Amino acid sequence: MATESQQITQMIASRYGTANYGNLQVLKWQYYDYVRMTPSTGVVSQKLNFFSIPQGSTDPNSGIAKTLEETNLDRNGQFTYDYVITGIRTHLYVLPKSRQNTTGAVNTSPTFTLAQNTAGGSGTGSLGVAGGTMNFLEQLSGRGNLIVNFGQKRYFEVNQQFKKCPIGAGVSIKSFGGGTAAAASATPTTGYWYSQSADTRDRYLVTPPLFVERDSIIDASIQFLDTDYSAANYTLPNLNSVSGSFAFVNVGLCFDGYAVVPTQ
Amino acid sequence: MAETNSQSIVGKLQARYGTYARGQLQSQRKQFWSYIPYSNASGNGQTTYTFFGSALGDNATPNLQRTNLPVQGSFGTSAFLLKSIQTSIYIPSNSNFGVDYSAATTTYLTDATSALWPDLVSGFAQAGILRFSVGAKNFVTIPKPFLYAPPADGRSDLTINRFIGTATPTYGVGAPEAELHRLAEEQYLVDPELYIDFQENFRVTIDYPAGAINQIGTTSLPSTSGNLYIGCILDGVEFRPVQ
Repeated sequence: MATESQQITQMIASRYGTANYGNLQVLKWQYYDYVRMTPSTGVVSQKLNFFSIPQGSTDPNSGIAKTLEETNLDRNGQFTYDYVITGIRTHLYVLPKSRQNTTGAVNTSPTFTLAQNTAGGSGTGSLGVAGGTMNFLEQLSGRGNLIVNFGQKRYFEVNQQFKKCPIGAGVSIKSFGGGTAAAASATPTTGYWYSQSADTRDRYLVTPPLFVERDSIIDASIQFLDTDYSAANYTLPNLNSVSGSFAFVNVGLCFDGYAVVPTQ
Repeated sequence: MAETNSQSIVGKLQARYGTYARGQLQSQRKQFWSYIPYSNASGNGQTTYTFFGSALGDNATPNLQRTNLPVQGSFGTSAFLLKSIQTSIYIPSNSNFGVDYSAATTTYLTDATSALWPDLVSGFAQAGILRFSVGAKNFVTIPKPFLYAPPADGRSDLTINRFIGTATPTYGVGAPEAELHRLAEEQYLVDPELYIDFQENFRVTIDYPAGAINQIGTTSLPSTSGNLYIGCILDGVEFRPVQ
């Protein structure tokens, strides 16, 4: 039952408010949050927290204020609307080239998206070189636990979340290559390209759906808890000889569902 | 709400002499689309792209390839039930069809000479926010719209292989190629659907608030501005007056 102050607030809101909570509308919606996977050391954080930093506040790993591209969270740890979660996606995502690391001039590498570098064949500056960024992400996708609590209560635990809860969207890759070995007769080398499942049928469906009130406190994280966690095992490889020249990677968590929105 | 006198008179005149039967509607499946250049005249990406901001016949959208919207920012005398949103791209005709054959046969590929590959896997397609608003209210927000709301249009295949002809021995090293997803089940469904009424103003934007992203693949595309067009397609049911 509402307290007296709540009743007064509701009465004022219904008469003078900017939103009409007596008349609700259901919209397809997604709440999403991207965080930088590593600080400047290049070591993957053992615990990545989601939905704790709203738009305009700074991501501690990247040191950059979040925009609508990183999250549509308006409030610290709370949804803006009552929300029904019907699916969960994660996104392991190399940032676009122009937003890449300036250390080692990664953001201007002429062969950033290719298997190899140009003449020389060393793979310098390329994501796809053997033992490089793409191999690292493939290995990482077999690790980790997604843990989601609302209030003090646990609602989701997913193992190997990057595989079990893929983004289910992406581009369709037809072939991969580019560059080559140093010269004629040189040993051909191998390049790799990693992506999560882009098939929407692979999404992690929440059945039955979960209703989350807009004032519930969200505690969502991806944690790497196995005994293999160490700086040596969890450091993004450098793209060239410059120390710290790793590729910037963001990790996203997206709740698919329906927002219950008041009419205005 | 009661009609005013003038509305009543206009209604009577329209009923007797008008070109369509007011109140009688027919429905049909309909797609409305809008394509705009990705790069500006200086060849740079922008932080905001506004779709459906000009009607068919305007300077920016002079023909049906660019848009079929009858009125700027509105469906005009039609109402529309929005069931799906798609994003898409196209490049104007050029002799290379988006593949830099000259570079591919004589030199090693780079991001710049790999056609649209780098733009799709590490460029504009991997970022952005699509927002669909009616009036001042935002009804749809899609992060990374080229991934989450792909064309899903069954586009044709172009399979690429590449050989270094000048090297001995000759061996294939592959040419990177990607495209936006085309499977029907990948399309972004608006569920429940949204009904946009006659003459109601709507707005579709793709924003890059974290910073504009310039096109990466350049040498294999037409060199003039507007060498890559990005588009938004609204798929649904149109309700229009019977004539």
